[in-house]
Amino acid sequence: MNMISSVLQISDEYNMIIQTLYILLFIVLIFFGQRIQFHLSLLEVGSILKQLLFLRNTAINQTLNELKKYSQDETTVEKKFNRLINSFMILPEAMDPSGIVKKVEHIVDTRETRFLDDVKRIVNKENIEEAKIRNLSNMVEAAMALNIIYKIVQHYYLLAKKTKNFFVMAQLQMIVPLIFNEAKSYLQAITAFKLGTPIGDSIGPLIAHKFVFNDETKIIEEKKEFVKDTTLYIVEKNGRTFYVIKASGPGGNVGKPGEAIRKIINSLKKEKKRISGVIMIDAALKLEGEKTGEVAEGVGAAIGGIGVEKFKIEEITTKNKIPLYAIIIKQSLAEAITTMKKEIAQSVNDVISRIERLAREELKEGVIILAGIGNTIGVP
Amino acid sequence: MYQEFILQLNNFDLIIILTLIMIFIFIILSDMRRQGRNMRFKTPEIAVQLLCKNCGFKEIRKFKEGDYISKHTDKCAKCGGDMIIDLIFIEETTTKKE
Repeated sequence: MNMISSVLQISDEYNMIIQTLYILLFIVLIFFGQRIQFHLSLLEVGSILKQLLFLRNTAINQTLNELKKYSQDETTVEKKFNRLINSFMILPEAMDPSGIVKKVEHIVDTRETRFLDDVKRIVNKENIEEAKIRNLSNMVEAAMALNIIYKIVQHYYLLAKKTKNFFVMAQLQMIVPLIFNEAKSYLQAITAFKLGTPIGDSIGPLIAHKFVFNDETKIIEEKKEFVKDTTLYIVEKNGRTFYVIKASGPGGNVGKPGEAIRKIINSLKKEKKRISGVIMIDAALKLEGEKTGEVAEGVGAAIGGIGVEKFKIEEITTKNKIPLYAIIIKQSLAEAITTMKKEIAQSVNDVISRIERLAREELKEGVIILAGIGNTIGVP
Repeated sequence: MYQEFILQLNNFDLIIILTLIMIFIFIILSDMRRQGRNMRFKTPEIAVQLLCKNCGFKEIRKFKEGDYISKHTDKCAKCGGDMIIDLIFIEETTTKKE
């Protein structure tokens, strides 16, 4: 107050100048406030877009270098890689939803087969393990995700800039910090796929593996490629028979658990064996504030993805009235796609004891189907 | 006019003006620092927990390329038995990316 009064007391001339300035500022803010805000948003989003470009280029360079290591002709790698990274998948029309799951499955299967074949055509040196090719394919997919993220953010940024649309820019400004964090996780995922370490999402297959391979379990039969990219173990533990399924590892791969569960149930029905239930183990996204590696139990099909496998599991279990149990291990998206954190890895024993308790107390008679869901990278 | 304006200011006014300038600089610097932090990456220190199938002895070492769960790798320091990879996980440290 002292300052203002002293300033105002200087002279009438000053008083007038300052009042005029205030009025001018007021008018400018009324008419141009939104435009000023728009330009400030443009600066902030532009800066994040540059950082996204850096992440995308780093991912692409790392993937290209890794692909070149396993290619006989390094000169064509970049061209083939660019064709692969810009490839797309068109999902079927849903106006008439009847039978759409089969159509989606067909498109997804075609895309997966073609994608893997394209990667195999790039990495064509002799004696490369199948697991390494799968990991390289996962690396390309992570680089593709970063490329798409960058392109979409750039699209809305340029659209808002071109049309001078404040509301498009405001929405983009609100969401880009979250998108940026996701993009950083994808870059970290590239390192995990390059080294072939288990990621957070591998906890399902890891638990299935630990359940099968321990001193208390007797393996009766092992069927590799029971269905495409999926292995079945028939085991006995504590006097109970378990049909354990997981994707075939140690290369990055999710398998076809839905198809496997359907095949097991149909074959057990033919043999007139009683099925007491299906237990699914999967990584699940945690809410902010929840602990990483926290285990929770529930019912339903614990499986992500596009929905085809989930549909198959729900359909066959409903048809045969088989109870569907789920055990989830909580983690963030970043933790799910990067090398497994210690807290997640340490949940293995807790989950196995929960499976044993379910078998002892709730699924008392018959065969139990146990499905370890997720990417099996680093887990054989 | 400018000199007249300055002469009218007393020490208290100067303190207020300087404080406002310092707050303004602090806000700008902290915003720049926040943007810099965005580009920091967690460098994973990947560890491997080995388990001796014979005596149950556990050991932790750094991850080597080609390691996977259940791989038979080193020999047990206690009994000389075969050790397998029991778990692979990260212990995080934060470094700034150049």
